[in-house]
Amino acid sequence: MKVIEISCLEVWREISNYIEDGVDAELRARMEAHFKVCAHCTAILDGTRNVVKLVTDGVEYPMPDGFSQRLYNKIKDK
Amino acid sequence: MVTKKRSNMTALTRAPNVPQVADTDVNDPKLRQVIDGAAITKSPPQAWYRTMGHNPEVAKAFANYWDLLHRGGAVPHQIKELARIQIAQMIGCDFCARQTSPLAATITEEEKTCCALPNWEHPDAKTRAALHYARTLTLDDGRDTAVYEELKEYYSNAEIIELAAFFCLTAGGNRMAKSWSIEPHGGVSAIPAGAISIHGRESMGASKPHLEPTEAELIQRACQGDKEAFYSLVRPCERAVYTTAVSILNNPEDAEEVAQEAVLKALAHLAGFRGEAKFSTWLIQITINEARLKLRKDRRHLYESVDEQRTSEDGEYFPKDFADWREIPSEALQRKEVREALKRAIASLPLKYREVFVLRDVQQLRIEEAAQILGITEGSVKTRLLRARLRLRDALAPGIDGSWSMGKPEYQKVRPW
Repeated sequence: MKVIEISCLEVWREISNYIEDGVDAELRARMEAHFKVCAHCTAILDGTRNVVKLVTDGVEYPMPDGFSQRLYNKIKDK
Repeated sequence: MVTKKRSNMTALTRAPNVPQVADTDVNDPKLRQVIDGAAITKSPPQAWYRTMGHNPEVAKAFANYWDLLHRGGAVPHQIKELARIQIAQMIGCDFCARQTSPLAATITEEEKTCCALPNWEHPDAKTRAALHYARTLTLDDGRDTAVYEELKEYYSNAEIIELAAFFCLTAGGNRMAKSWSIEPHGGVSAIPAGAISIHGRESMGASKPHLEPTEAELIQRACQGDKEAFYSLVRPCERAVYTTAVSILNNPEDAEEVAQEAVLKALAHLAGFRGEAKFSTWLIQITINEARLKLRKDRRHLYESVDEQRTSEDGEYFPKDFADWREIPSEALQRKEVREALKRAIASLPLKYREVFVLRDVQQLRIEEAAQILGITEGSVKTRLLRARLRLRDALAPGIDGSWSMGKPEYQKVRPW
């Protein structure tokens, strides 16, 4: 099957959907063909994936100590 | 009752019973490969193998057996992955219930939400038979004749062995994750109210599953003044409420105040909650409104225009930095300066991008849930998510010379961390 070419601009528009498996098979094939020959877009892809992995694995907004207890007391006292 | 609740809250915040191994202490290259691979395969996730990493031989053997049964074998991966989610919900392991294998991306949200509900049946007969088998193996002694008759219509004996081994490994793995107290990452419980549970069963042979009160029942009781019922609704999403507030306000004290105000507002208006969305979705929506209100009131945040919410999605964002970022994120994350840089980068995003990014990538809510919470279309969520991710990539990419990972001083001029 001949894969229709895709521009860098179109790749950037879809790169977020691509890493979420949110593009159809045809677009996926076009993007994958593009990544094979475009170092810039591959760098964008790797970096965007890394951002998502970084936050999935570890960005933390730790709840302050005693948060749950204080919230429970607020509800109870209301 | 109060005493019991307090002890539950202690359990929520305690440290894991078995800590995770630091990436710098992983010296076995094959274990390294297992941990890195888990970042892609997701189930089990990296935290699982980092915990198992205290015993590399066991971790590697488990990974081999798991890969053989989960992604290999003759039974479609999709069926096994849905059964795995069902088992996690029945065992009550929120950590495991939250993961989804990217290879099974076509599993629908309805399937994930409903697979462990007592009165829901999967429309596909072959999948249904596997789910029934997973259910009886997890909850009972696995000898239900009717289940085996149904199973044999769709699966060979070899496939039944594959399913049995996979389901038992899954149930055991879920119990391990629970016993180690691996902290669930997301804020909203991935286990729907009313899911069949192993907890509270009077005996292993009990034929009727124990049912937790449904969300609707808890809301009804809360509307009648039952504060414990209301806290039962709030508790699974209190981390999400706090994370939402702190990501908008960038201040822990303000975030706690806003979180409390949002919860009390939800209590005051609970009778008006029509149940069109999940309670958690509604509560996060209230939290976002309260946090935005706080931003408007607080002069410290005037530089950040909340009116930006109403700007259109026109205008593309183009990547500015084409640096190759090859450092393994999990290794980078061990470094405090990278974690701090990440938090600063998120905090510097315009509010409308930050909200979407935190809901989707930090809290891992579904696109449609994020859209519902923010009152925007799913298309807008995707567009904002793209821009947030590209902006963060530009802010964090280490430079074409790789000096971030190499620690070369010249890169410090470009990236100050």
